[in-house]
Amino acid sequence: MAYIKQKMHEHLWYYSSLLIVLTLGVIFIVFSNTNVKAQLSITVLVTFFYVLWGIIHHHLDHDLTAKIVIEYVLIGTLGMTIVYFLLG
Amino acid sequence: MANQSANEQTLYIRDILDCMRDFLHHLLLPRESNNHKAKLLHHSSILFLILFLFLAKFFFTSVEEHRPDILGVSANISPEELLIYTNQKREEKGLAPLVLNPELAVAASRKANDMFTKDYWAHNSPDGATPWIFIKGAGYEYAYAGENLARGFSTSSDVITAWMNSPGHRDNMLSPNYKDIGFAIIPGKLTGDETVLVVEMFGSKYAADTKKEVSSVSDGLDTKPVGIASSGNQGQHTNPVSDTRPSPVISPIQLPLHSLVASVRIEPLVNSDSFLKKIASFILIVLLFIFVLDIIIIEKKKIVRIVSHHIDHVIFLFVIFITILMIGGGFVL
Repeated sequence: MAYIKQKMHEHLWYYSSLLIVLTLGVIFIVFSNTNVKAQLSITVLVTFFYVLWGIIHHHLDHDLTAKIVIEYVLIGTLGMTIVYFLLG
Repeated sequence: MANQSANEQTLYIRDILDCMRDFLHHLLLPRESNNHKAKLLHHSSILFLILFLFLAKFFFTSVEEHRPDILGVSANISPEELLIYTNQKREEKGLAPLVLNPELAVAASRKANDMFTKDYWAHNSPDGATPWIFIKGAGYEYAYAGENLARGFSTSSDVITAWMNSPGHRDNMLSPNYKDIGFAIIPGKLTGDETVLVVEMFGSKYAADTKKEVSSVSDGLDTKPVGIASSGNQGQHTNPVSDTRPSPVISPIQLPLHSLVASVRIEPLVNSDSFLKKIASFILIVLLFIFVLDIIIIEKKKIVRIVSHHIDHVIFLFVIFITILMIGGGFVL
């Protein structure tokens, strides 16, 4: 927990902006509840933001590698796939 | 000899259990055998999971299309129940019960078919056709008319409860202006979603006193009666008194009443909505659990790795989990 607290504190701007965008994404998805295409489009946008922000974050931390980029892309794709699995 | 055999069996079972435990640790916990990262979090495992989900989606979609009796949307909605529940609510407020009207049932059925054909979820169609056009087209000359829409509900009582919880819809259901009611309950694919659509149309026909009363509030553009309202999220719709647009549905009623007010009773072996949600939730919960375990163990053992921030993944996957919990279910308009 101390590690998480420390990380959260060190990268407050990063985690708060990530949380804000992701929460907005959830709100938009829930409000477009009868339009599957819109919900999937919002999911793609939110995932794109998540991957981009992860890359920027690691770049600023000077520890960005190809492996890390692949990991963000894979986790993002997994998140999108789960939403598509339910809505598509 | 018997004791020796029993001991061998016990050892054998213990070996198997040890193997399974070892394998689970390899899958779920960071340690040397998996390069200090749970095997399920390796890129290959995540890629496998993505492919599995795509294949599972393809498989379930095929089963839904070809064997809806096995996997499909579950619904049990009947016009009789909708009428009974609606009238129960009206009686509680001391209002007269509504009567099932074949013309309004035709109007509701045509409206539902129009929504499926043109793929829209709204009171007015994309080409501007209002609910009143369908009501008039079915031959119902109304003094007052209204429309409630619902989709994605499993039972009649769920539909009524949702309408009663929405002020606009409740006003329609409890309006003393209406005498007749008509329903259409039709399953189909609407705006990309396999669902059961319920159209409820209310109305009351011309009466000498109504005509007099309504003409007194009209703006003098026309002597036709004023339609009052449809309800729902779009708010109140007033039928323009000078509306001269041709109705898209002007053919006479030819369908028998029973075919227009048919119940929808779909009870597949497995309800696709809840089944898919359970699979997705299970995958997310397992992944979140492994990521959190990974963060805790790595921190505890002070292992240095060059990997992405797992907290980010936990936040992202948790938000996806919240999203899938919040999507789905029924909607009213």
